[in-house]
Amino acid sequence: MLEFWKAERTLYAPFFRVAIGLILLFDLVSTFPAIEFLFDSELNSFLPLKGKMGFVAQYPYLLLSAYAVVLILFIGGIGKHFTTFLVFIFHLILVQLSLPFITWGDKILKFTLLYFIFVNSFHYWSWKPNKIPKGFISKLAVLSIILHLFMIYLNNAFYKTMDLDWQKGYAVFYSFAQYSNFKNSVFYPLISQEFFSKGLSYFTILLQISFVPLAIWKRTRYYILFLSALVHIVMIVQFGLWKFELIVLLHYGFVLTDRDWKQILPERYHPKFLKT
Amino acid sequence: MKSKKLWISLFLLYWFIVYGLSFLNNEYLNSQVVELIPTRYRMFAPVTKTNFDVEYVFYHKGNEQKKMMFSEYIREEYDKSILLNKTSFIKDKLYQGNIKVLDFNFQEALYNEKYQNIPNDFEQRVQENPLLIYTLRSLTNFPKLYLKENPNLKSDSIKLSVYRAPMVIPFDTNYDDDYTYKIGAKYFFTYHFKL
Repeated sequence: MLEFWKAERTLYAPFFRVAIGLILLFDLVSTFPAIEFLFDSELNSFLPLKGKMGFVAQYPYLLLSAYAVVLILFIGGIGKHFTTFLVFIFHLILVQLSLPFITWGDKILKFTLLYFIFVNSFHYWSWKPNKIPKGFISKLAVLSIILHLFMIYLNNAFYKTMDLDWQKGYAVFYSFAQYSNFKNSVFYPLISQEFFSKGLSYFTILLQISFVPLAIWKRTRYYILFLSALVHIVMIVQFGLWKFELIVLLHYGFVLTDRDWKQILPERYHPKFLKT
Repeated sequence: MKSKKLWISLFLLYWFIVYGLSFLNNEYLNSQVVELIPTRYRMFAPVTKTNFDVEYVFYHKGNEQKKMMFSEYIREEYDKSILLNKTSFIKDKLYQGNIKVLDFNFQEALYNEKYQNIPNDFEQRVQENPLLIYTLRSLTNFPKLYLKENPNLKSDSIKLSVYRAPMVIPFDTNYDDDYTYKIGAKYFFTYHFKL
């Protein structure tokens, strides 16, 4: 148990920086075609017109272009912690401007990016790389990201067990049925089957309840992460919420310790940073 | 060493508060801190048990020009290209995402009228509740976008009708343990407006 909290977790952070940077950049670029109606108060009733957000919303091309530049710097590790701070600020602004369509992924990422400001992720895949980080604050920040992930699972498990639809085993059907193309989906015959649908509901609760202890216990860590990743991949296929699912999947990497990563990657594929 | 202990103490205190608040079912307290600390991760997945759609009828000088369903429009948008998926997602959420709030108020007003003898105030809510005002504005904004995208279509007034249909559970088709099933499938809100 103590091993989990004391273990070094320095190897994954640079990968996370690059991966999350690319996801945010792709998401940002794919927002550009929507600018014409998203930042037009005649077409978007939720657009802030007053205050700081109202001012920012007047210059969408400037805002999104500046964010894109910051994300490129972030991916390249240029500007280090300051650039990470700017990514956090831009993410906050965009969340405020897109309240009607933000996903849980955006909400989770808001706090992860806040903690990530303090993480040293610049010892590889970075312009002017740092030496291997041993920073104490960086370690606490990584632990915060893990605790945040654990809290999401525990909260969900807790509130699901309290909910009547989850207790009855109907919640999974309702979740899938929200999507307009559900009846044509490959999942429809499965989810419409009582045993499978209810089984999946109870399995989801069980998975969320057991996630934290099984992720902490070394023997079950890989299995629970693999199983949870599988659930999120199915959700990408059915719900199309790729950004949210990928954000959660990327969080799993922090649960693994440096030793885990060295075990996962065969030695002959170890890049220079893994040999240190 | 002393500063390390201080950092650890602050770290533990912070996470003790965060975890404590996240399990505390206090809407007011949570709403006060939601921007400052992570809390309220209640991904209840089934946010609604009802499916919705909106029918738009475009009129020009009193003559019907076009009738369309939002669901058909958005399906075609999603089919266009994976690169435009985000744009379709934004349209979907922006123009139809809040209908569940409109429906919730409709259900509540009906329920109050039937079981508590409170006069049905749904129309009044649509005029006064800020979130419903925004929702109605979003519903009326969509045809403006549609007309921009289809400049050949001429229209000076539009009628929109919001449709609701409770999700029927295939393995429990008689399930009606929710007020949405008592109301059933119907058009529950119409609005005619001039451009």
